[in-house]
Formats: sequence, structure tokens, C-alpha cells
Amino acid sequence: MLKKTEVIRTIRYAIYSAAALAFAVGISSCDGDDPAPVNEEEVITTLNVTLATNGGGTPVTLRFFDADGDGSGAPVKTVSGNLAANKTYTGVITLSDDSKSTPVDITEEVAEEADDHLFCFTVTGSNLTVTAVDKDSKNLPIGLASSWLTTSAGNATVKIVLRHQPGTKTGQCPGTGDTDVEVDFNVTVQ
Amino acid sequence: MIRFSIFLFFVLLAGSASRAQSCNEVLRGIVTNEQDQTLPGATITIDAGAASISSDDGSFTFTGLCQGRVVLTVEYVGFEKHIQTVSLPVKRTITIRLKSLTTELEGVVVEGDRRMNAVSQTTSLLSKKELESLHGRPLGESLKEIPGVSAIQTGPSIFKPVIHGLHSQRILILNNGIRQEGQQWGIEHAPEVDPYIASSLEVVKGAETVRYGYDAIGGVIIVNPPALHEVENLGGEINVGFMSNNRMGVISAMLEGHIAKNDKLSWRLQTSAKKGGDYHAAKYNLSNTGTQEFNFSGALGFKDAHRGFEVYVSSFNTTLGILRAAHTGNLQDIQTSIESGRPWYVQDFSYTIENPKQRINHQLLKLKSYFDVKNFGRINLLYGGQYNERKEFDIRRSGRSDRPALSMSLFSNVLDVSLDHEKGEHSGSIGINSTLKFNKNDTDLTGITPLIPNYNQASAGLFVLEKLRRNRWTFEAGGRYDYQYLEVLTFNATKELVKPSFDFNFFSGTVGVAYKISQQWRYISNFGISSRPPHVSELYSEGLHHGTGSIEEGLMRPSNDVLTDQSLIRKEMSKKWINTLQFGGENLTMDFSVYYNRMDNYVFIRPYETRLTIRGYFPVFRFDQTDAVLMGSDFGLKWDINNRFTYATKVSYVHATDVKNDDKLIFIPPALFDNSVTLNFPNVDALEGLHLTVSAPYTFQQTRAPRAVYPEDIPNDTSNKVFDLAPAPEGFVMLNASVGFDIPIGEKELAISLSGENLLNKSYRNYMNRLRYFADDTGRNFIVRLSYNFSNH
Repeated sequence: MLKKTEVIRTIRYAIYSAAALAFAVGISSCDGDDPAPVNEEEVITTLNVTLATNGGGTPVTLRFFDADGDGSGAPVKTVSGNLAANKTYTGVITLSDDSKSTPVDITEEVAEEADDHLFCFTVTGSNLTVTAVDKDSKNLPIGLASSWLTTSAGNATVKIVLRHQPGTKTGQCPGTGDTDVEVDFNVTVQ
Repeated sequence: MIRFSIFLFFVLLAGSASRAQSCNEVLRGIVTNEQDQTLPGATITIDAGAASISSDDGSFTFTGLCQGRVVLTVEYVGFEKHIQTVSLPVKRTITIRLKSLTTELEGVVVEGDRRMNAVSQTTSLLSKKELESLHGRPLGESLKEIPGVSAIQTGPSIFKPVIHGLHSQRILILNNGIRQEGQQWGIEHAPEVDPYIASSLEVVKGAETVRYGYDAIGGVIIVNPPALHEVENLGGEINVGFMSNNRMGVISAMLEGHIAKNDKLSWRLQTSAKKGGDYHAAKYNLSNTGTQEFNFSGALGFKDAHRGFEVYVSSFNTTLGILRAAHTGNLQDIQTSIESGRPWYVQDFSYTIENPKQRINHQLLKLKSYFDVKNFGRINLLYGGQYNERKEFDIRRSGRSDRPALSMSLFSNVLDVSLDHEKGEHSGSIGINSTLKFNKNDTDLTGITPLIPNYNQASAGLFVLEKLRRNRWTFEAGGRYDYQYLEVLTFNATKELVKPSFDFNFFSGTVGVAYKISQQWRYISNFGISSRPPHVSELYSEGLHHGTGSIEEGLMRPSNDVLTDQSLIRKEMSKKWINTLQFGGENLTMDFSVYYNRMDNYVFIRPYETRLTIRGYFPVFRFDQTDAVLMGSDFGLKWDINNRFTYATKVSYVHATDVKNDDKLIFIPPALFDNSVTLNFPNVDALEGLHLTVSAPYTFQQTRAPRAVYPEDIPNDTSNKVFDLAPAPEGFVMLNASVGFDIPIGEKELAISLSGENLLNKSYRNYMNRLRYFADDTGRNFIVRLSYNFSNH
């Protein structure tokens, strides 16, 4: 049979262990503050290609704009006009995140890491050729600046792909790495 | 290396021929209490190696023993440990009568952790000896040795256990008695458990929700460390391993003892570390698949006749590289990888772990206490505090690669109170489990919207589980009620904070029976109904899942909307019936199970639409619910043909169907057929237990994989039916071999094993590996393992 002191000791022990457990739960920090909205830092909402001729005149702009990034809102693609036949256009690509109150210039980020980035231009249609004209520190193409050469009138599709190739860039398209941008534009040469 | 092992093998073979000694002795016994009532569920260990659990009638059998003296240790919580030396051969059945620790408490016998599992459940065990031959492998990979358990892999180092086709948030891992609270929801999130702490791994293949709660709907993995209070003096263990494939080194050490002369107070310290570089497929390096791990734990326990207290702390820390070539920006990148058939990024071997990588830290504090109450039973109190930190690093622009792309912390508290009682043929357990969890994302650090939002969760469950033993029958029944409060903190499309909260009430029930047909045959059957509310990841996931190149939307997050109405949430319910027939003969053991699991409102993800973004098209997967049936069978057999040869085979098959949509389920393990032959050699002077095992597991092709839609075809696919990005790979057979032996050093033995995996250096891809779109699985691998145990039990 259990002695009375044993019973008391057992009960006391039970209380001690319960207290220890309660303490352990108590020290567990309670619910913190409400979280703040995320400041998405790597979103690209906008790609602009400005095509200008040496002769001046209104440049043609190709624009891809997706206000909500990966969200369900559909992107808007605009081509401001047609390209003239048998001309050389100077293409300038800009990238930005316009979802912030102060738009973020992504072009700068790409230019700073030019050795890791490469724009690839794939044209469907024989009346247009696009080539990157700028070079990185290793004399490999980048593509932020490009040359667009038109020949006869007709339709063409230009796929612009930005490849992120840290440490593996060879200047070949598509090469290794991941895709940061992949956008198609339908252009008309007349 | 191979030449060396062959040479060694012949040297050993030549030596062994000189002196033959038979190793086909059988030891049969029965475990009883002082009143000669049999005790099922006692643990019987031979020479701290082979282990067995006494069956329903308290009996146990060991086969394939060598002549000579063996030390038999019998343990059962609530009883004094029994150690006995037996000289083999022994023809009669030995009776082991355990002395109760609670002799004053007449008629009250308590039961321990082990017996908390249902007797009618189908369980499988990896013993200490088996675990030794798997040292160095991650937990999920080790568990693949059990029929019916497979693993879903993300590359060569991330393994997630799959039990009868279910995984992630449907499987509970019980680490040293504490439910593991990590980020179980992600397929690429491996369990944060150091396998070196375990002296055995146990898998419960039925729904064990009544005892453990809703996350055990698909089964339970129990990581059992050795009990404290086992050693007489200072004891310990050292394990060292080397792996050729990824040039990995692993070391683990353990020390245990008593404080001063007081054997009521004992302690244990344990640590393990590993460092490995890039794995290697048959034809190329798998660049950036290195691993680093450092773990430690400490335990302090007090125990006397009627009570005990234990403090346990553990720390798990790992950095895992993710195959560089598997990092993709969009669908076209995945298409290119599938077409090329070879990873685009292959560099020379390196130990350096670059991005993408995962860094995981998991800390645990456990407090456990129990005490016996007269004429009542035993009360157990258990607290577990866990802090899980998960950081995933990606390849990012403008120096952001140093900042994690995902950084979340989960702080959880578990408090369990249970009462175990036993009177005559009737025993049972009543208890309360409660948990409190806080999950937070550090988005200031990441600058990326997290895939799953912050949440706070509180839950409590009340269960009753009762057993009745009568002659050859054991009946079991249990019920459970759970309450869960969930508060989610997420943002809607206009970046306003939304805080939906829910109250879930749900029930589980189980009935089972175990019947001893004869001395050798046993039949067990269990039927369980379990339910669970969907996990936060299934309700509120939102965003791009980088590993899969897809956008995921939770059940309550259709198209940037945030739903908060609880009536939209349906609980997942499983009705599983599992039947097992076991045979335990002198030279043959066999285990055959058949199961049928009907899951209502089964949560899965299905393709919903294709979305155009600035990075091109992405498939949008939306969580959905359907009705599924998973049925299958497992078979395991071990036959000691004679004193030299042992043959073992394992078969597993799962057949899974989405019955509502008449469709297949993705990532269901393909059938497996594994055969092995072991050749046992007689003992030579300095070598004991020499054996050579050759195994050839055959993995079938998954013929019931979902249809394949290549990434480039996704934008044109509008059927919304489940698809895979590539067809299921062909079946493959592997050739593995191992040689093991013991060298006595003083009183103890140094166990040495040399093994080779994928000896033919076969190129293959595994359906269950999510990186199979990008690279082959691992090639040939040689492993050396040394294990020295100097515990004085």
C-alpha cells in the first residue's frame, strides 16, 4: 500500500511538473504584430522598346505592361505604329517596375550586371533582322541597345527574351540560365 | 575500391572455410508479468542488435542465431529491465517474467510509449541493426526500406516519406514523442530530423488520427531514440561513414551515463555532422547538390518507481544545394531541359553550395513527466516547444541572391496530457493534445510575396482508445474530437491586410481486431475514419512556385481574391481499411497487407488556366477537392533457407484514382519488387557475423501516371485535367551489394560494412523524383561505414 507521505509527494510532484509545463507554454511568445504588405522588389511590370530612325520622326514603341505582375490581371501589349520598309532603326529597351508609387528602373539593374544578362531576339518573318549592338565587359552582346533592319513590306513577330546567366554567359542565344523576360510583339513593315 | 572489396571478400571467404560454425539457431520465448499474464508489446533485444516486439500472446522468436552465448534484454515500460544470458542452442521456449516497478500498486500496470499505438494497426519497424546499415542517409530515404513506404524526392538529398501514396501534411512524424512541427506542406521540404538519434524507426501505415490527431491521416513515422537509464557506467557510440558518390563524410557520436552514483538520474549527449559535395549521375555531375548538416541533442532524465521526468533539447541545422540546372524562369526553360535530356549546367565536382539552396534550422525543447496514481494508472505530461526556420535562396538580380527568397519561421507549442490504464484484460488511454502555432514570413528580408501567408493556429483534441484482450482476440476501439482555431493574415489584390479566421470541429474513429490464428499466424484488421480541415497552404497559397514553374492558388484564393467564408471549406475525410496477415515461423517470416482508402474531398492541385506574364506563359494550378480511392498491397518475406543463405523479398503496389473526375493522381509511387540474397559466413577468429548481401530492387514504370503535357503545349491545353510535364520514366533495376562484419575490440565490437549502390552505374530517372525533368538520378556509390558501440548495458 502507498503511504500517506508518498501520496503527498506524488501530488506535489504532479503540481511541480504541471507548473514547469505551464511555464514553458507561458514563455512562448504570443501573437505578434500585423504584417506589413510586401514590398515586391523584383517585379518587372513594363518592357518598352523604342525604335527610332536616324532621319528623326516619331519613334515606334513596343510596350508590354502587366500592372499586377504574376497576378491574374491580363497584361496589355501595344505597338504604337508600323515600321517603314528598308530602314535601320535604333532599338532601346527599358525595363521598369511601375507598380510602385516611385517606379523602379530595372534597366539600370540589368546594365550593372551586363556580364550576366543577354537579350535574345527571335524574328519570324524574313523582312526584319534584329541584332544587339552593345557589348559587356567581355565584349559579348547585351541587347539593351539593338539595331532593327527592315526590308520589304509584310508582317513579322519579334520575340524578346532576357536571359539571366550569372557566370555562364557566352553570348550565344538562348544559352544557359533562366528567363527573366519573354515577350512577343507583332510588327508590320510597310 | 571495387577491387579492394572483392579482394577482401575472397580473403574472408578463404578464412571462413577453415572453421565452420552453424548459425541457424532459434530462440523462442514468452514475456509475462509476475502473475504469469502474457505481455504483448515488450521490446526484446539480442546483443544490442536484432530487436523484436512480443506479439499478442507475449511470444517472440529470433532466428538465424549463431551457437554460443547471447545477451537478451527485455524491456517494457512499467517493469524492471530484464537482462539474461542464454547459451544457444536452447530447445525449449524460455519464459521471461518481468518484475513490475509498481508492485505496490496492485492490479495497476502501466504502459509506455510503444503501446500507445494501436495493436490492430499495421506497423513496420527498422531496427537498430538495419538503421546502422543505412547510416548517412536522410530520414526519408532510410524509410524506403519498409514495404509500402516510398519517398518523393527533390534531387539526391531531399526525401519526403510517402506512406501508401500519401505524404506531406497527411503524414505525422513523431520525433522522440513530439509531433514534428516543421514546414511539412512543401514537397521539397524534407523532415527536419537527424536519423542518428533513432535506435529504431517505426511506421504506422493506417490512419492513426485517434491517438495523434488530424495530421496522422495518412500514417505516422515514429523516431524512437534509445531509452535513457539503460547504461550501468559511461557508455556511448561512434559512427563514421564515407560515401564515394558525393565524397561525403559523416560522423556521429553519443555519450551516456549516470550522474554520480545515482542511477535515478541519467544523461545523454549526441551529435552528428555531415558534409558532402555534388552528387554524380552515371554520366555527369549533378552540380550544386552538396549538403551540410550539423545536429546535436542532449537529454537528462530522472526516474524512480512511480514517476519520471525528462528534459530533451535538440538542434537540427542543414544547408542543401538544389541542382542548378533545375532552376528555371519559365515554361520554355523547362521545355529546353526536357528536350536536351542533360542538365544545362554541369561543372566539376565541388563542395561549394551556391544558390539555389535551402537553409533549415529546427530547435526542439521537450519536457516530459509521468507519475503513477494508485488504482488508476499513469498520467503522462508532455510539452514540446519547436522553432523551425526555413530560408530558401534563389538566383536573383542586383546582389539580392544573398537575401533569401523565402524566409519563414514556425514557432509551435505542443502540450499533451494522457492517462494510461490497464486492469486485467482491459487497457486503454485517454488524453488531450493541444497545440499553439505561429507562422511568420520575413518579407522585409525577402522582398517577395510569400507562397503561404502568416497564420496563427490553436487546436485541442480529446481522445479515448480502449483495448480488450480475450483469448486469441484483441479488440480495439477509439474516438476523437478535435477543435481548431485558425487565423490567417494575408493581403488582397489592393495590398490590404485581410484576417480570415475559422473554427473547425471534426471527429475521428477507429475499430480494430487482432486474432492469433496459431503459434505462427496472426491476422490484424483495422478500420479508421479520419478527417482534417485543409492546411493553410491548401487554403491560401498564392504565387509563383519556383521549383515547379507554376503559379499556385489556394482553395480560398481564386484569382487574387481572398475568400473568408468558412462554409466554403470542406474537410477531407479518409475511410481506410487495412488487413494484415503475418507469419512468424522458425525460418520464415512473412507480412502481407491489403488496404483500401477512400478519401472524400481529397485536396489536390489541378491546372486551371495559363497566364501570360512578362516572363511568358505560366500554368496556373488551383487547389481543388475531389474524391479519391487509394488501394494497394505490401508484401515482405524473409526466408532463412539454411544456415548460409537468407532470401528476402519486398513488394509494394498502390493504385490511386480520382473517382469523381475519373482521372489519375500525380506522384503516386510506382510498383516496387525488391529481392535480396544474404550469404552468412561462419565466424573466423577476429571476424564475426560476416555476411554478404546482394540485392536487386526493381522499380516498375508508373503506368498510371497522369497524361503528359510538355511545357510548350501547356498554353494550348484547356482540359483542366491533371497533367505531368513529361511521361513517367521507364522502370529500372538496380544492383546493390554489401559486405559487413564485426571485429572484437576489447569487450565490444567494431562493426564494419562496405556497400555499393547502383553497381552497374546505370543512368535512370525515378518517377518520384521531381528533378527528373532536368537530370538523371545518382550513379554508382560506394559506402564505408564503421560503428563502435561501447555502452555497458
